[in-house]
Amino acid sequence: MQTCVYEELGHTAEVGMRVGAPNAEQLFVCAAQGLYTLAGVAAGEPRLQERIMLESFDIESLLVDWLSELVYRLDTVGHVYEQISIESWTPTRLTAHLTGGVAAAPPQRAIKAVTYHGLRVTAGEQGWEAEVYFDI
Amino acid sequence: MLQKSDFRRINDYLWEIPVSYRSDMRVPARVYVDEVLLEDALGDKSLEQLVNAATLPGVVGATIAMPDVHQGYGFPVGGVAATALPDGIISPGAIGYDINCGVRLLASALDVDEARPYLDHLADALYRNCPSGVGRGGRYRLTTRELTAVLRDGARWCRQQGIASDEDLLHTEEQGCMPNADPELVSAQARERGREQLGTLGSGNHFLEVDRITAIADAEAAAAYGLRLNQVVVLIHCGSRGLGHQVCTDYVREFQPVIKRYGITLPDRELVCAPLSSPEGQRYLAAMHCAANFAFANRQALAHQVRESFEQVFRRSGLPTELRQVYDVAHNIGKIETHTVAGQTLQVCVHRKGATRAFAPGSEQIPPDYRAVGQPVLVPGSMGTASYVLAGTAGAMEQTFGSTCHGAGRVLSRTAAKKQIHGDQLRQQLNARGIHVRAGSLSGLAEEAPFAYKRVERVVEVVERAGIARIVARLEPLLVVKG
Repeated sequence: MQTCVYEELGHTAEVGMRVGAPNAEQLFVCAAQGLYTLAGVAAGEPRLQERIMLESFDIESLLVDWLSELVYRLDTVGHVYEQISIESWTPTRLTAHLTGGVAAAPPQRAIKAVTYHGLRVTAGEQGWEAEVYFDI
Repeated sequence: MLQKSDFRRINDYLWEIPVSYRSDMRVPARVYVDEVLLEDALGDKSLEQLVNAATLPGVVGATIAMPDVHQGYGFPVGGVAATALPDGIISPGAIGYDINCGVRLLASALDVDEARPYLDHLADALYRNCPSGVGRGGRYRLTTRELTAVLRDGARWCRQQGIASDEDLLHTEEQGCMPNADPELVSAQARERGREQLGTLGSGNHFLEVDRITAIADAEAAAAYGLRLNQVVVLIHCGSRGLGHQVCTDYVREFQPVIKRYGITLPDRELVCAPLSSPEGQRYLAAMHCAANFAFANRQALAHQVRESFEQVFRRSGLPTELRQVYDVAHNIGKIETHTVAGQTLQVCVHRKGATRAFAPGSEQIPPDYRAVGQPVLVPGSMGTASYVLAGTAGAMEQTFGSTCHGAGRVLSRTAAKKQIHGDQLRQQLNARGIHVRAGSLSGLAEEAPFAYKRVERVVEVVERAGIARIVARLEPLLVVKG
């Protein structure tokens, strides 16, 4: 599987990222990795196995909901997921199996929320790409 | 892309983008700036965002940008928009994720020379007693019943716990409690994010600062607020923490399909909204008020912890330890208020995102002891620079829905700031200037470097010259605690 393409996007007050992946399922995995990179956090012990099921309004909302769920879990219980497999996916539904752990150290940067500002999910011959901005 | 030629210059400090600029604008967009700050504002997308806000259903008067304006998400930081009841909209994105992020000013009875020998000790005590940074919980672990009470009662809950006085509440916007808050409308996720965060500063641009008053510009207002030259004061800047962020997230999500139902088209999805008269709009208003109440309680709990720190440091030396609350203002909030628009008295929802309420002398919404001089306005700077206390004016009531600026306003992105300085280097620079710094994260400190912000002096000069606030006192930092 091709690796994720990741780039931090500048913003006067907040922070954004552009992620690329060979297909839609992998785009969600790459977006999660990008989120953890921006937050500056890595998984520690104990090991965890969890499942997330989401249903959203459209594909952009699905990406926001996915990242928001990960922000919520990081903020409340400190969970960071290193291995993510997308079990099923449609543009409005997603089921993922996640393996990770409690953050080894507090994040370098607090991600407050995932916004719809400048949100973009596109598919092309080169693969899938998304841009998303975070409130920090 | 907006250019200077798209503006109509109304006077030296007010510029207007007329409705003719874009066919979907319902009202003009007005910007309080001088020529230098206008160039700053044109450097990012903030004024395009202000134009986008001028398309919102029910918006009245004009959308307004303060001189500290900078790009936000959907709606600019430093922006004000009022929508008329009953059918004008309410937009979570135009209030912000950090609902009721705001500032509190406490005044000590200490002179700077008395406090100076103890500042290092005080910095340690404040850093220990006021949890800051990412992932640090507070001393409060709220039960479901307690959290519900906080959401409903705000800072009044703190008075029941013995950590707030009647004077504290009197000297807080809305007396520390927004009406009609319905905790039932706050999700389990939002509650979970807030459960252990009461009494914590968080990170980002939030801070706790001990300042000295270096200038008094308005003796009458300063006397009313209990401020004098060389006095030691404390600024607390924070908000509703994860609870507020999740409330905004929940309703931005919930509103996405709602706009179609009400026939609303938007230039930016982050401006998603619902009519105030709709069930969805009313639900968000009641949930947002809960988050605002959590923020009032959070700053009150922090104020209590600051008072404990002053006790620990100054009691043994026989120096005065009391800290009197001057005022507490919201910077990110939506308020139902009555204003005059084009000669008509209207009930409106004023969205203030990175803007301060600045009510005029005589307003019944401000404490009786401040009524003769106007509402205190608290404008924090950026660690190494000054902060200001201002007073609300009649001009603000006439021009800006009783609003003014809230801070210095960013000009550099966090990435750009970090490229220019390392956190440790910045800490050394501040220390060399006699400013004691305690920071949870050096990279976070670098992101908040003073040069990443506009010159706060220029910002407050514009609002004073435009007549939408009056300078009362200048503050300079002695000690900073950052997340």
